[in-house]
Amino acid sequence: MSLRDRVPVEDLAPERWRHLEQRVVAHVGDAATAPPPRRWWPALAALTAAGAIAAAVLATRPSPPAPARPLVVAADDRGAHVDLGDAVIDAAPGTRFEVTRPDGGVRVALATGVVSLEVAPRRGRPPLWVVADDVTVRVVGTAFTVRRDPAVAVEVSHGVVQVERAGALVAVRAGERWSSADGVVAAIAAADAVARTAAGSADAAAAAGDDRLAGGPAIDFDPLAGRRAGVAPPDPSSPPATPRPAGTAGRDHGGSKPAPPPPADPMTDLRRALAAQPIPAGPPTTARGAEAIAELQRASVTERGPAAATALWGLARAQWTSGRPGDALRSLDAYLRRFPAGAESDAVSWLRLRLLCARDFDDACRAAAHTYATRTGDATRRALAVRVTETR
Amino acid sequence: MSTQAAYLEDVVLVERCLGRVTGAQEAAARDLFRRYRARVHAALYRILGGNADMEDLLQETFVQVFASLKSWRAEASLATWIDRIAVRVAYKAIGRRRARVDQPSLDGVTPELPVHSDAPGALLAKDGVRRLYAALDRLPPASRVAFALHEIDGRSMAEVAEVTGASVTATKLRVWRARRALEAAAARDPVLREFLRDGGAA
Repeated sequence: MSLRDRVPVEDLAPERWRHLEQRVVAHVGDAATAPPPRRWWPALAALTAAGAIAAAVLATRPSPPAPARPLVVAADDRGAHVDLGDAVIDAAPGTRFEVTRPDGGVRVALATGVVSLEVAPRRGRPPLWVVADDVTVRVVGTAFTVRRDPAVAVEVSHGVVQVERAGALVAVRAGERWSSADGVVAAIAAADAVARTAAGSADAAAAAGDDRLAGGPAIDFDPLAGRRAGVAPPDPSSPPATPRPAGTAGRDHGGSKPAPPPPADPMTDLRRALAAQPIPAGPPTTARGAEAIAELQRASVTERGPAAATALWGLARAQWTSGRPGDALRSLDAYLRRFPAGAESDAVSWLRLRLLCARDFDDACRAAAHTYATRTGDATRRALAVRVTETR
Repeated sequence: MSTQAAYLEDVVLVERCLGRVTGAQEAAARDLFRRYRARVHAALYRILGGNADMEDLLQETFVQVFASLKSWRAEASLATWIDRIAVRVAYKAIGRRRARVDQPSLDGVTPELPVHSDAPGALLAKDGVRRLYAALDRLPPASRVAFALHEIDGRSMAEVAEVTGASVTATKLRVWRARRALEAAAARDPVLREFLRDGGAA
């Protein structure tokens, strides 16, 4: 008889298990969304550094346009473009809305007109709401349009939003439209989208209500890539999109409205050049979406050597295309730790650079660019990486 | 259930717990808790020698599991990953007990060990288990944990090494030291000697 048999485990009473389960589950909501625990000294160092940076910024620059008071916007005949840092709002001509930032979130109260929003994934941050009449649209990270004229309509280009009205919640996903007129979620019909893009067509206007509402992806130029880190990037195998000036996203589908001047961004050319470099394809999978990710996760563990490396690369790429850049970064880092000389290491390092530089050309981005530039054999990409390292 | 099927179930379960797939997060958390509670309970029980403070320890383990779930990279099995957290909680519990009790007491360390009164030699078994854990209390925590997981919980050396974060060689050394210490204790204690002889550990 082994010691295992000699020391039997006395089970807890069912009542104790029930209580314990309740106690554990009560922690789950907070625990699953909370950031990992941190040691006190990096937090102190970060606070000190942040304080020093804030003092330097305050001493040298005006405050950013995120006032505690409401920001009231009345778009003129050219529309309006509001950049909140973590969200960009494009308003059609004649639109009136008000922006407040309660507890770090964003609340857009739409009085009338059409707003198109491009929202970075909120991930742990307070949410963004658009309130139009008695309709509330809650956003996690997506691109969508809200019209109030006077009925409220919501169309989603990327991601998913929650629409709440009179206590009822409806999820509206990419390619779908919800209207307060009938309270129904419906697919945006291709014919409908085509009709709405036909400027001046009375029939189209009558059918769609407003030709400024765009069907399908509202933004095909990527100056906002850094703010759309959670949105699935375009398939590199697809033809390159036609560049359009920033600020016209989701609003110029009528083709007759003058575009506002693009914001001055000296990094735009560099961002565009980085985005133009294709990301190599991952290994073929029989599944799609979450199932493909699970399949690749399994393969990255069960396989060995080059097969495991390829699976890990495919996993990172699938996570990236699924709008999970944080997970993708972790997989990329794991690849470089496990297979520093793997066959996909150049592609891995390049995607890592792209992800780290998506939001800003900060120190992490430049470090990744430096690492890439010192290792790659691709002259074009090396030159781009060197340009990134010189952005300080 | 095959290992592969269990693995995929774990992946989906974690995705549900993190709210990445449709489904109530809370229900997923309950599923995960129910799937692994017996395993965690057995590991903690066999390391610590009883159910004293067990609900708190289980809660501490699972709260840490859910708090760290995002960091599970699917490179280790979820069970092994949870075992690592449970072992860390057990280490802390051992440290707290040592801080509470200066001198290990035979009466204080194993208050809730089960005894099947209808089994022959039940009294000897009860006494033997108490003396076993009293002897383990005098060991370094690393040796105690390695011995408990290998000899009492029945895990392989490689698995013990993985969940304790040590090399297999270090794990073998720890188990060997624990056996040697138990042999020494058994040489002075006939009840423990009898118990271990039946158990075949030392």
